[in-house]
Amino acid sequence: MSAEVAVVYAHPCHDSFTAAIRSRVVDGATSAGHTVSVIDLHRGGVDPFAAPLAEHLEVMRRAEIVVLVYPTWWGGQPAVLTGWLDRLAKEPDRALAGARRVVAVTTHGSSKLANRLGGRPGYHVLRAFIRATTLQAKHTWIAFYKIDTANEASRSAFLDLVRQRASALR
Amino acid sequence: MQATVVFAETDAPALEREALSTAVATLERAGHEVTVVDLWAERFDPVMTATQRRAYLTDHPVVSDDVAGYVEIIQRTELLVFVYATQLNTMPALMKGWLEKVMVPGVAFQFNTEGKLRPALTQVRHIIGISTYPEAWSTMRRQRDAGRRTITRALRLNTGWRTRHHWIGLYSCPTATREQRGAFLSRIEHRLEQV
Repeated sequence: MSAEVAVVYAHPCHDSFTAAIRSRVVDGATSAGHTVSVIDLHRGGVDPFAAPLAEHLEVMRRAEIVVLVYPTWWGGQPAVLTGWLDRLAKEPDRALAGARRVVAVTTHGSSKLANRLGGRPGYHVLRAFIRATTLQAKHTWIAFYKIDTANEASRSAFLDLVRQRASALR
Repeated sequence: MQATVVFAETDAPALEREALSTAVATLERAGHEVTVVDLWAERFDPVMTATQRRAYLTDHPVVSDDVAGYVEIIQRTELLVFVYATQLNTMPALMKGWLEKVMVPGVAFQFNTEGKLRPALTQVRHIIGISTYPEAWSTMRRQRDAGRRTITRALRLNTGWRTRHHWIGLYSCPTATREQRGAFLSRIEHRLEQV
């Protein structure tokens, strides 16, 4: 069964590992027959303090599956994404009422343990966002830890995993 | 002590601004040297640029003048205070972006000879968070207050666990009475006097 998938991407560099993750998500979801729309928060002059652009809002309202692709900085979403999610949550009616699943695919510089010690703020923001914008969407968390010291093999294994998980989205 | 108060709200008259003035006045009365970082007034841009991100991974992670100024401030700070309104369970994007740009390798943390992460802001002895919340205290407890965790946990990984921290919150803010608001400001005053 094909679904509308919205991929929200937030990394300023287009040769980053996060960009590679985005293309695997798009590949995987497309191969499963889904219709994929990408929102790039570093393109088109997105202002984190302004209301979401009408075209973005339209994509989000249509979405049945939302995939957030971002690097974890300071334990959480980058500021541009934090601001954007917050504005989306302030929309008068639930902006993601049609969404049944919200997926976060993220990279951490630190280890899983350090992330636990840091309190996992990003995870708790995601939960709050889901509560504020969807009716009852489920969430999926796909994370890659210690990216700064990761070797090529583990990086490419993670990219394969992302593609496979994206193609299995229902 | 050298105190820095980081503030991330718009210029609209608000309780958060009263909280800021109360904090600054109290610290000054107690003889601290206070620097206010008013991110909105200073037109700080929280969005990471490609240039800044690429520089992050090098030995010279600070590339813009505004950030260099903040780095200088943070490196002499002994008492760090944050004032903001919690939204979507966390701090405003403006403040999050400030942390991302200012707390870079060599400033907030460093790697020791074994390649392990070590705090670099060890001169910070106190961290105080002041926030207003639209939600009730019990809701924030259930939601794990990501903004508070960013400051009292993630940031403390960079100052060392010996840094003391305190939190002053006004919960259920939209329905708070005049008395509750007043009590919030007195709590700020009382707490900061004791530092």
